[in-house]
Amino acid sequence: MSSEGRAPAHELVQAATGPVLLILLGFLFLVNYWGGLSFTQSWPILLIVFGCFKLLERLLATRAGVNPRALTVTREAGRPD
Amino acid sequence: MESEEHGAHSPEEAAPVAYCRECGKPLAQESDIVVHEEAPHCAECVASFERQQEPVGADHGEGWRQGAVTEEAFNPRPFSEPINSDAPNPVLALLLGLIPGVGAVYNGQYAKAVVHVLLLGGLLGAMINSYDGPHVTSVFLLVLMFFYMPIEAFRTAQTMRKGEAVDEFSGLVEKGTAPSLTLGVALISAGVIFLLHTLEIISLGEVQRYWPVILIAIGVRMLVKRARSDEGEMQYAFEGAGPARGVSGPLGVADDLGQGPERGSGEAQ
Repeated sequence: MSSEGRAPAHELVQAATGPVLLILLGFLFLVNYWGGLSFTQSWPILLIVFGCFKLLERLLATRAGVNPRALTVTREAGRPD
Repeated sequence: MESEEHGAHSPEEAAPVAYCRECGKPLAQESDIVVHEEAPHCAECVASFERQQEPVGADHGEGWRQGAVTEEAFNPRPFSEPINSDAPNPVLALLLGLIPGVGAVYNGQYAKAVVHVLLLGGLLGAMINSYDGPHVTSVFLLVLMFFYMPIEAFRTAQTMRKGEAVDEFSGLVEKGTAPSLTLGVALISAGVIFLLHTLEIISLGEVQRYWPVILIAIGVRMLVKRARSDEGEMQYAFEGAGPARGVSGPLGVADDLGQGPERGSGEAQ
């Protein structure tokens, strides 16, 4: 069902994770430069945001019916159209 | 997926709707497309995937459970007939994996190699820079890394050998699966603890005294997993105890170590 047109939501979240973290990293460096929170103090925010993205992805994926414990099992193989 | 839509725009004259992700064969009609791991494939390729997956996959019918364990099930794909003979050698990958980053480079996964080296460098840095000697936690994580890296390299090489596509961050992100709950929870709690530490609200020294909680958590997780696998897919019976197990938790990776045929069949009995 999911392959109709656009990617499922959890894949969008997965695709967005990297860029968002990069933007956040840049932002934290900027804050550091501006004299706010220094990066040595603020870096765990990256971990927290990454964790949140992963949880969100999991939530959406399980809702979309992706087996949370699926390994490399081919899920949709041979599905007639 | 885009090409499917694209085909609709172009004139009717036999422009392929999509191309097989595996062999590149043009697929003339929508009905030729077989979706496999979210990508269009031709029927032949998917059929060959299924043949590969058959003995290893979790989806065995009744026959599997009732002891119909043939010799083939124990040795589904001997290395002597690799589908992709150019693929890296799993054993060599395992050995090279002991050197930070080298295992991943050997598998051609350069970005992952960088991540491994950075992680390890960070851990070493944390160890060296701490005032009161190396923290137990950083030593623990360091040891975990040295279990994780070779095992991961081994598994990647094995997958490549089976002729399956492996993307750059495989192992860090598993395609077609939801990320594990543990991964998210571990990341967030680590982040919160470190943030509280860097903001000097609590000190890591205090938190560190509670490090055995990690062991307890891993133990509980193993128990839950095995209890579950009794009802469900049976994959976790022979997963080794000890540090290597822990890796699979926070990094969400080695979980399917138990995927191998011996483990699977052993559990089925």
